[in-house]
Amino acid sequence: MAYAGSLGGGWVYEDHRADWGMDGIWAMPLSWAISRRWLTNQSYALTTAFLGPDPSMARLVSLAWHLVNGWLVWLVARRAVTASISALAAGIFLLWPIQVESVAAVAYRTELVSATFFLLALIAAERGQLVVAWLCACATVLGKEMGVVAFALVPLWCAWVGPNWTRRQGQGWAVACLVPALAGLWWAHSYSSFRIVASPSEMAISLSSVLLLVGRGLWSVFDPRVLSIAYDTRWLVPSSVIPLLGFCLPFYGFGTPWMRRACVWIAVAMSLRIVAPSPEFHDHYLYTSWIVVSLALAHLVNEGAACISTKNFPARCTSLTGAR
Amino acid sequence: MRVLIGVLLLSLSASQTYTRALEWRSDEALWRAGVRANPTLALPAYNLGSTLAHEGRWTEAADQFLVAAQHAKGGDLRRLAGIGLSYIDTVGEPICEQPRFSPWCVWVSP
Repeated sequence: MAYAGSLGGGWVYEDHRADWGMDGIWAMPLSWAISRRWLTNQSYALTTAFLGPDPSMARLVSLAWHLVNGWLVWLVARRAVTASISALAAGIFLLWPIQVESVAAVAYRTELVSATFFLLALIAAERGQLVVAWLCACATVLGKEMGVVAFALVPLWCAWVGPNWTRRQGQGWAVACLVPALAGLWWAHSYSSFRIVASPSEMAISLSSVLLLVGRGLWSVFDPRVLSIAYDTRWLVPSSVIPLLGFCLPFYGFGTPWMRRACVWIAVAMSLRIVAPSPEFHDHYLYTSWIVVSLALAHLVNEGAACISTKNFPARCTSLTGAR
Repeated sequence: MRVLIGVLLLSLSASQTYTRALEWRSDEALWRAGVRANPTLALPAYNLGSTLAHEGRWTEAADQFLVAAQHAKGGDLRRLAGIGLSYIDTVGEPICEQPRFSPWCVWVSP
């Protein structure tokens, strides 16, 4: 129901530029798999083949994909937190206004496809099936090239929630990830919009953009107008990173453990966006980051409610900063 | 208390998502929302101008291109907005003779 408003109507914004399965199913040579976002393109081709080139149907498929991702977020979070918190995290992930762009714009199904395989990689890694996790991480890159960060996020997740990897497993993962990671980076380097690596001032501007993007993503639950497209970040200057960081650091310092983890997660997930700056920063870039942001918010709600309702208020509230 | 806060948060989230999703039903709705939220940003105005020009709504499109040209921070977008105004002048209505548009029109030789 929350996404019902976007289901009607025609193609919107970058949907006009996209090629809806015209290459045919399985028709693309594997050598171009990364650059053509192969798995995502297969999803477009299948949608067109079975449901026709109808924007409403394409959006419905994207919505179904988002629902599957919500369920996977619940499964992933179950290992880290209680069932009720993970259900709330999945709800936040599914319903937070910043997700509208990824779901409503068919062209941004790239994020949905990439996130599905990324979440499957996390589930496989949680179960100790590292080969399956590696294959899913590779599929993440074929959903969208920026999914290459999955190779860093999977071990980070396992370091937080387990299982702990042996030294040999860690080394094996690093070696196995080298080829797909280099292929992804090579693609990003050859793609005209990206330049690796930017100057320090450019990276400062990118970092500012990421901080603003996260900030407006969080605030959007109170006022979704902040999301109304304003991708042009050329007004930012390198020095803007200082006040923005000054504003954000207290959230890190005094936040809950999951809030700190969300900060680290965003830094890793958006690292390529920072070192290879783009003149535009879109809301859908945060789709994967929102997995842990949702978890952090759900955890905060749980701890905050416990803190308020206890008889030992405010002493009980020390748990909010992890001091308990 | 937890359930109450959780339900309230999800309800708020869903309602704002619904509001935002409505803006994604068409190009015009999307860019109008962008212009409404950021009246001094060139990009939403330029994109709204392009959408309206595609529909042959020349006067409205020209107004948006003018806003984009006036607020563009970079030369590229200013030039694109100027090309948009010249396009309207060529295939739509003669606007580049009007004093408010003429400084921004970009004449592109065929």
